[in-house]
Amino acid sequence: MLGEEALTNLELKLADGVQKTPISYEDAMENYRKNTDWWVVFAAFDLPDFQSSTIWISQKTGLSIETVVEALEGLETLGYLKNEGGKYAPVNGKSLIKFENKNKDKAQVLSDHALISKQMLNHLYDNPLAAFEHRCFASNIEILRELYSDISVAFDKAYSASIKDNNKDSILKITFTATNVLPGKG
Amino acid sequence: MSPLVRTLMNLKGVTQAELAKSSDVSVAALSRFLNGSSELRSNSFIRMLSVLGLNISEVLKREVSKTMGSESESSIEEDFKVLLERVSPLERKTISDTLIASLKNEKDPDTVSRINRVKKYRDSIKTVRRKVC
Repeated sequence: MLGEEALTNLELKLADGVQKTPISYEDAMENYRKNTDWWVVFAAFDLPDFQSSTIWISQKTGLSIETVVEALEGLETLGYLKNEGGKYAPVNGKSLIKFENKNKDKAQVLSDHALISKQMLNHLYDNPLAAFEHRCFASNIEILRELYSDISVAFDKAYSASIKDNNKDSILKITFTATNVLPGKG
Repeated sequence: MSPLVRTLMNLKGVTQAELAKSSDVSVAALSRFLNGSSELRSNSFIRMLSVLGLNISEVLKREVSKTMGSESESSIEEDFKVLLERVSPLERKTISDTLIASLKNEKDPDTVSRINRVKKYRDSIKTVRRKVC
């Protein structure tokens, strides 16, 4: 582990590089919508033992320093984080990144969802704690619509409970996929 | 052809002594070839190219396939490489992560070494562009 002085020096070097080469708004928005590494960095701010340090976030999440720096800068560009004297803090009222599917056609939404889900499932460590179910059965789209509402409510319920909990010890990536696999049926 | 071989040696960081040993030719013979003062025997030459990463058998196979009218004249490895460059940086990163995740329990040193190279490649992929100030 690095000492406090070394950490400070390293943080300053990272911050120095940041100021000279800002991220474009377009790139930041693209990553905000699809890059789950950025979601993890943002969610880390909600951990009870959070330290506003690039190194700490990197060590806690397993993400590379470069990825963490990019995420912090990008989220600042978008107004989700503010930089106060070299330390990042969330902007009030912006505390959850949600998958955005407005103004997109169905094919694009599915393509983005596939990319996001793959990232989630790739991000597993040696002893992952996970919940999973697989099913495949003949059904009717109306039944699926009702199920989807229940799933959305469950996601929101878990998030609301998490906000109030003072013992958060995990960052969960949660994804749900149900798709019709019959050709020609939307 | 010797200047090209010399360039490839420099790019790959291979010394004359290393190349001579791996290609089973004497250092003197290799030196004469690189200076352009003599040629190498064909089998030594092919071995040397192979050490430098040029597989003549694969080149011949590809040419045969091409001549016989196979669907593609490129190898599957080349197809992967070309297609990987066509997708967005975030897709590229995710595909690399899928490969790493699929092989994360591998113990074979050669595979582990390759996975580590893929990890380095993955970490080098930038998903954002920087404005030059």
